Amino acid sequence: MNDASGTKPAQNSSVWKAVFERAANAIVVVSLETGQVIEWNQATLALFGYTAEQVAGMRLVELQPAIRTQREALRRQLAEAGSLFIDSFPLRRADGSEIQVAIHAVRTSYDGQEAFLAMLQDAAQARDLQTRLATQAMQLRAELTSQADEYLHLKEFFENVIDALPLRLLVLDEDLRIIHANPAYYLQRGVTREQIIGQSVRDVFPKELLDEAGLERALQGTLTTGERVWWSGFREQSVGHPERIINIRIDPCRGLEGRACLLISIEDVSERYRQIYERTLLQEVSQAMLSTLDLPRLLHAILTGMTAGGAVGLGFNRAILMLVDNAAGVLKAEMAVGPEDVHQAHTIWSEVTGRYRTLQDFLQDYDRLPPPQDRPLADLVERLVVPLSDVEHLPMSALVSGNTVYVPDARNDARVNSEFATVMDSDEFVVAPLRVGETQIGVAIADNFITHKMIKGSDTHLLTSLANQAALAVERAQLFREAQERAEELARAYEELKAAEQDRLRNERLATVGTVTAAVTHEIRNPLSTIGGFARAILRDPHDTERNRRSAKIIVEEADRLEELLRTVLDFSRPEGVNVQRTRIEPIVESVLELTAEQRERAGIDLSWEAEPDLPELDLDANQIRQVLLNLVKNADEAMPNGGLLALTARLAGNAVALAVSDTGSGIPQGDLSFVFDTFFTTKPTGTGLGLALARKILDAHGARIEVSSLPSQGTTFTVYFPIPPA
Amino acid sequence: MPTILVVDDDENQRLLYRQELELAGYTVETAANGPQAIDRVSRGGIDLVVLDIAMPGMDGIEVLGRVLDIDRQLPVILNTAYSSYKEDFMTWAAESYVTKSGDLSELLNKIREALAKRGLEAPEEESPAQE
Repeated sequence: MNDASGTKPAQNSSVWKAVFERAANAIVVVSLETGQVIEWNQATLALFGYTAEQVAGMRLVELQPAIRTQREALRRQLAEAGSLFIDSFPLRRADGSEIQVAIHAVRTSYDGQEAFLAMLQDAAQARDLQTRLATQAMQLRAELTSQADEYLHLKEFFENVIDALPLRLLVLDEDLRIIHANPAYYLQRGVTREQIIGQSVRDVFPKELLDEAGLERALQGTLTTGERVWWSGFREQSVGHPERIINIRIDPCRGLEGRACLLISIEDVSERYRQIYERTLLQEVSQAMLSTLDLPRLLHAILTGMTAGGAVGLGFNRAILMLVDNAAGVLKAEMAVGPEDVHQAHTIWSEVTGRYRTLQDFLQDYDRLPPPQDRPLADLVERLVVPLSDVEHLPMSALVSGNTVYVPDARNDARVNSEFATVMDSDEFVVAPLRVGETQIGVAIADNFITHKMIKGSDTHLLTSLANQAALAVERAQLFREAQERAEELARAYEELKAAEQDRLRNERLATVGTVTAAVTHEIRNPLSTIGGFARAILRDPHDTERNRRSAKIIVEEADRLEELLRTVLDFSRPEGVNVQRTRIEPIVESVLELTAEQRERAGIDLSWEAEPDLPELDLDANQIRQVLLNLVKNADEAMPNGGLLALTARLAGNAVALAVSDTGSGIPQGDLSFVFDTFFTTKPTGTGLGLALARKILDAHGARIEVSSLPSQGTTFTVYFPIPPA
Repeated sequence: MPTILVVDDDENQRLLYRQELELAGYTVETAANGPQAIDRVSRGGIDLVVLDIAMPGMDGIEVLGRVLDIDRQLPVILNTAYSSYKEDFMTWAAESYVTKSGDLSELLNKIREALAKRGLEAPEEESPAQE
């Protein structure tokens, strides 16, 4: 301790010496006893203008003669107060010039003698500094004032900006209470600023957003972590407003007294989504259109494009496509999409928007949708027809002019075909023409039948683009369909030719029957003459038993031959002439049913027989027709060995009486249907294959027609159309 | 006793003609087809041919031509189930044309007429009817 305190003064003295030497102010030590200058520093020499040699040992009065008069006063002051301050002292320099200095002096002791230490400062310099400081202070004050003004202006400016922002802004405190809201927010909610301030976030945001979507959790999160949260693509539904798509951003902020707060900005991006959707929609529709040549599918794609979307799409309530039918001379609704009423609207829209992200998705599912006849608006489609000649009125006028027409009030619009307006039952709609160059394809009509949402210019514009695309695709599909129809026509013509060829073959076969009959005459006459000859021989000599036995044997042989012939051939060419009489068909049917009743009873077959009252009389060969019906009824009964229902009906069918005989048997295989009337064709183990061939031959002779239809395991129906004779 | 050749592919027909013509007093020979008939005629001794037309292989019309080539004077009676062959000019060369029947009297008449024309006595048979 002692050591430490012993070395301190020496150290101190060297430190002080260094400070003393380097000090910016002039410092001198003057002995109070001798008045001599004992110590001085470099700054002193500079201030006084002397060298160190000149100063050493000088007396203060020599140095500054002016001080002489004040010497005693100063000494006294120093003795009493221990210090003195002269703010302006005329200091004489070595060259005789004077400068004003400020002097601080304190009593001290130096090497054991009484002394004082004076610190001198150039007063001009000091004043200068002071003035500078004062100026700076003034400048600073002015600056501060202007900055404050500027700040106020800025504040106002930013407040204006915030108020004018389309963003809805909210500031919440730590308790999630609203401390600030911009007009975009409160006006949108239809309240005043005063009403909204102080409310809890729970009072103003819907539960779905707070709880289910997790907004409240996110708010708390930002409060604790200070992290910014950004959510996009929320669907916001509010009463009286169309659905909107919003982005929400939560920023941490610092409020009064550095308290944490939250800035919520809500951006309505429906329009942006809508624009993106429009572009996508057009792209999707044209892609969908390119991918299908099937007209109904295509039409449905277009209509779906018009109605899909809700918040972001075109989202029309109803869309209808009318196509030109040149053959009928009308513009006719081909397909429509949309709900019939509000209730249905909700069901359909929630299903479609919930399930399909893109139109392509939807189209892929198209096959699984209910078939067209179950689709809504069938009635509207049925009734929406206008003549092509009505070019003065909508919708034809739009098609002819090639311009999309917006109708705000159809019932009082002279441009609209009044019948058309009545069927549409809608005041406001848009009609867009479907044209390819000069070719008129049809029109697309859209309205907001359910929501009555106003149709905007952008909707009309988009509908026009869509209609342009659709026109191309529809034309393509129509051309394809036409080509297909031609191909089908050709195929049909080919089928007809084939049928005619088969008919010809059958006729030829029948013609051959004549030839065959002639040829067969030979086969018949031989045995007949043989039989006759031997019979005569027997008659001639009944006693010659040996010869007669031989003759009789030959007769039996020949008789067998004849029977065989009859069985195989004669049946085939039997009905030759027709002996017609005007008669009613019912008694013939009933006689056949009587004849066959027993077999049905055995097999457990039920019978139903219905004849339309007052059927006209027909020109029939009753015997032959009975034969035909017997054949049909027997066939039907035989098709139901384990019971079933035999149903006969007779009714008017155009200029014919149609008699149908149906069974509930196993049916005729599709491949066999065209052969059933062929001679020798049979599927029955014991059939001759002649029954239906004969029936057809008889019916041909009556000018009657027979048709067969059959469904596997459901049964077969033969229908005979007897021509009604002229009265 | 004139000899008659019966040409027919039907066996029972041949049996019938043999029986009935023999009963009528003729000598009867038979042939089942055209070549057999031509062969028999070419060997001589046949006074009359009863010829069927519809036969498998060589038909009666052809046989008729070949037979007449051998013997222009030989009477041939066409005996057939058809009447349409009467329109075939080839058949005009035949002595006569008979449609087949269980009643052989027409055939027997034609045979008798043809043989008489050529100075051949018809045999004195018992008439079938009388028996």
